[in-house]
Amino acid sequence: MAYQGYDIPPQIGFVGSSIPGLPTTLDEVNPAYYDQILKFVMDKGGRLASFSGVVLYDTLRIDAGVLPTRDFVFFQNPVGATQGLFVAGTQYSKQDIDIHQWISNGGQLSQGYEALLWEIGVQFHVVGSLDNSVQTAGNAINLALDPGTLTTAAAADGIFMGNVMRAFQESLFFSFFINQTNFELGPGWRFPSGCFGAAGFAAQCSGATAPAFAIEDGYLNNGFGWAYQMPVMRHLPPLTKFGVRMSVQNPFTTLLTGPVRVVVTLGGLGVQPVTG
Amino acid sequence: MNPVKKIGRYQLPILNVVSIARREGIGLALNQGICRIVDLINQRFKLNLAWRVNAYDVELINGRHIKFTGLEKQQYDEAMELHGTAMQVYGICRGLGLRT
Repeated sequence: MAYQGYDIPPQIGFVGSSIPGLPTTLDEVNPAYYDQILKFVMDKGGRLASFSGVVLYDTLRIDAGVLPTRDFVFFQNPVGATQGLFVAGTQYSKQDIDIHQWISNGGQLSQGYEALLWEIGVQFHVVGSLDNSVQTAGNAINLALDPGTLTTAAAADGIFMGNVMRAFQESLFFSFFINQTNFELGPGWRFPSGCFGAAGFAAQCSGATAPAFAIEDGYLNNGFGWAYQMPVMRHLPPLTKFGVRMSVQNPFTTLLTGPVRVVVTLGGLGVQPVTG
Repeated sequence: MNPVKKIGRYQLPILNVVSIARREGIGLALNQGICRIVDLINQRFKLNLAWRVNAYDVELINGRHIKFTGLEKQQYDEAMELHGTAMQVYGICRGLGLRT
C-alpha cells in the first residue's frame, strides 16, 4: 500500500532477492535527543549566539575528621554565599572556584539562564600524600597553601589513596533532583567523573637521609574517564530548584587522609542572555 | 533524522523532498485568476468557497509528485529551517561530548 509522501521500497531486486530500503539521512541521530533538542531550540527561538557549553559544578570541602551522617545538597549556595567545611563547619564565602556562576540563591538558575543536561559526574579529589600545609583562614580555607615537596614530606604523609577512594565511592549516596523529583541516583561509584580530574603522577622517594622513608605521590580519579550519560536529557529552566543531594551513610574518618574535595558536575548545553 | 511534519494538506518526512519548482506560464496565471474571481465572489456574496493556487511542483524521493500552495511552501521552508537549526545544535551537543 502506497502512502503519498512516504518512502516506498523500490522493486528493483532480482527475483528472490531482499528488497533494499531507501537510504535515510543521518541514521545515527538519536531520535529522543533530536526531539528534545528541537523543542529546546523552538523554545529559545534558535539564536545560536546564546548557546554555550556548560558544566555546572559545585564543591564540598571535606576537612579532617569523622564524616557527619547528614545530607549536603550541591548547587544551593552561590558565589558569595557562606558554606561550612563539612566536618568542622568553619564558614567561608564561596568563590568561582567552588561553584558555577550561573547558580543563584535558592538552588536554581537565574532568570534567562537555562541548561540542557546529559552528563552527571562526581569527583573525589584524593591524593597520595598530604599537602605540606593548607590555608587556615579566609575563603580558601582548607585548600592547599604549600603543596609541598618530597623533601618536606613526613612519614605520616603517605596516604592509602585507593582505600580512601573506595571509602568515598561506597559510603556516599548521591541523587539528582529537579523540584521534588529524584532522577539519577546511586553511590559515588555510580557517577564517574568523566574527562575531569587527574590520575597517576607517581613520584617515589626512599633513602637513608631525610626523608628516610618511602613515600609516593599520586592522584586518583573516580572512574575511567567516561561520565555517565543520562538516557533522557534534563531541561533546567530558569528559577527552578534543582540539585544533587549527598547522603553520608558510612561515617568513616578522614582524620589521617587529609582534606578531600567532592565536586559534582552536570554537563550539557547552556543558554544565556546575550547583549549586543 | 528525517522528521515527519504537517505541511498544509500533507504529512511527510521533510527530507523526502527532492526538488521544488515554482510553476510558471499560462497555467499558473489562469489558476491565480480563478482564485481572484473566487475571492471576489466570496466577498460579494459572503461565501466561503476555496480555490487553491498550487504554485509549486514538488518531487519526492520515491518519484511521486505533489503540489504546494504558497502557504505550504512557506510552512515547508520554516520546517526545514527549524530542522537545520536543530541539527546544528545537535552537532554542538555532539561536539560537547554527547554520545550517540
